[in-house]
Amino acid sequence: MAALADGSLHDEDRARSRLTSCEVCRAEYESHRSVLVATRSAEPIEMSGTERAALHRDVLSAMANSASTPTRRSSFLWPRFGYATVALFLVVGLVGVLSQAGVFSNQDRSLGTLGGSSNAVTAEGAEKSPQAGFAPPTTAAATADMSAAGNGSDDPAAYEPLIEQARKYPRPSPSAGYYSDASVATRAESCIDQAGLDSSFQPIGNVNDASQFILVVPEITELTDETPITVIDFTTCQIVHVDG
Amino acid sequence: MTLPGTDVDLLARVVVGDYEALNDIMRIHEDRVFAVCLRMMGDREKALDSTQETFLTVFRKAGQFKGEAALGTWIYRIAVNTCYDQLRKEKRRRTAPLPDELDPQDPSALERLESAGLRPELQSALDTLPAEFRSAVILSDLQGLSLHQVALILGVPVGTVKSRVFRGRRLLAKVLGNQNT
Repeated sequence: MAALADGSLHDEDRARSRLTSCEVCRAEYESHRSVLVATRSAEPIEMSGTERAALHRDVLSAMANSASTPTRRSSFLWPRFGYATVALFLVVGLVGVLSQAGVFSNQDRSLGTLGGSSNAVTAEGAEKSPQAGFAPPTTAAATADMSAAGNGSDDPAAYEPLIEQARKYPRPSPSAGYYSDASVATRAESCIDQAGLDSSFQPIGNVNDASQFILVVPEITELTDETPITVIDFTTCQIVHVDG
Repeated sequence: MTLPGTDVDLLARVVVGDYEALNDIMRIHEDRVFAVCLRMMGDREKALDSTQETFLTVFRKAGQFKGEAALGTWIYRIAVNTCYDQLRKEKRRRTAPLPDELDPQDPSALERLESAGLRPELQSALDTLPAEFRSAVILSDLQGLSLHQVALILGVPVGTVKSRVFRGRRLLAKVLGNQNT
């Protein structure tokens, strides 16, 4: 509807026919149109002569006052190399001290344990791997965070009713005014980022009207019944379900 | 808009400290930069500060411009980032929370916007938007840039721009609707 309103949609006929049958879409379209009318009728902004003169005077005097010419990339690489060298010496020194203290005396065994624990994590992940399409928290830390927050579960079965609800969600009808509160909208966007999803993902609703779980889709303007949905726990920003 | 060759030439002159080249760049881009800053900051004085900081950054970073994007796009990007920085600094400086929306009953607030040459209802609605949504709506709907250009300026995918413009307009419609009732 946004693309139809601003004229950037290729298949306008299909969208216009949808307008006649979908009240929510019509409301959405009208709200976009009203904003575009307001923004397009805004008068162009220009600087006054005084502002222009002040800008040129201040910028040029600031330039004249700065002793250096513009920084070239190479000119500030040297300090970085300096820091890197100092850090390298510190690490080498620390390793030396620890070696003397015998911390690495049983290196083989330590490496073996590391490999073992890595395998153990993988095996644990595989053991917990649920039915296709369901993505529970992948690390123990994430699970602990969810438990600490008092929400979520590391038991895939606990999410089944939720996913059932998600599948029944009428996908092509994002509710008008969803997250009209700017702070909630920002929090949702940040949650989507934290969940590791591309920022083009956006919320289209809550599962079973529970504000804890948000449904997100990759592209709201191209929603179809086939659009895969992802469910994020809004309190922990963890993905709890990926469709398909 | 300037030709890419001219852009690179101008920047090359700035790199070697040619002040007149920076003056030329400012003359070409200052109105657009000021417009974006004024919409972002909602105040002419702050917008002028941000515009000044933008061009000083152009001067400082001239050596990093590779000419892959148009100079205008690069300058817009610096301007938006400068405004983000200023807004963040302002937020930190605040000791008491400010109201999300301008109080329509507050005549001084309205006078401030009118004297800034902004339509009070539109600017106060813009001020309620999160900075990311505001910049997307300003660049797309007020500056008339394409989604692709906005994506280049903001350094995000086109899909993200669409999403931010969509959500921004939705919030604006709600605020403007409330103001009209």
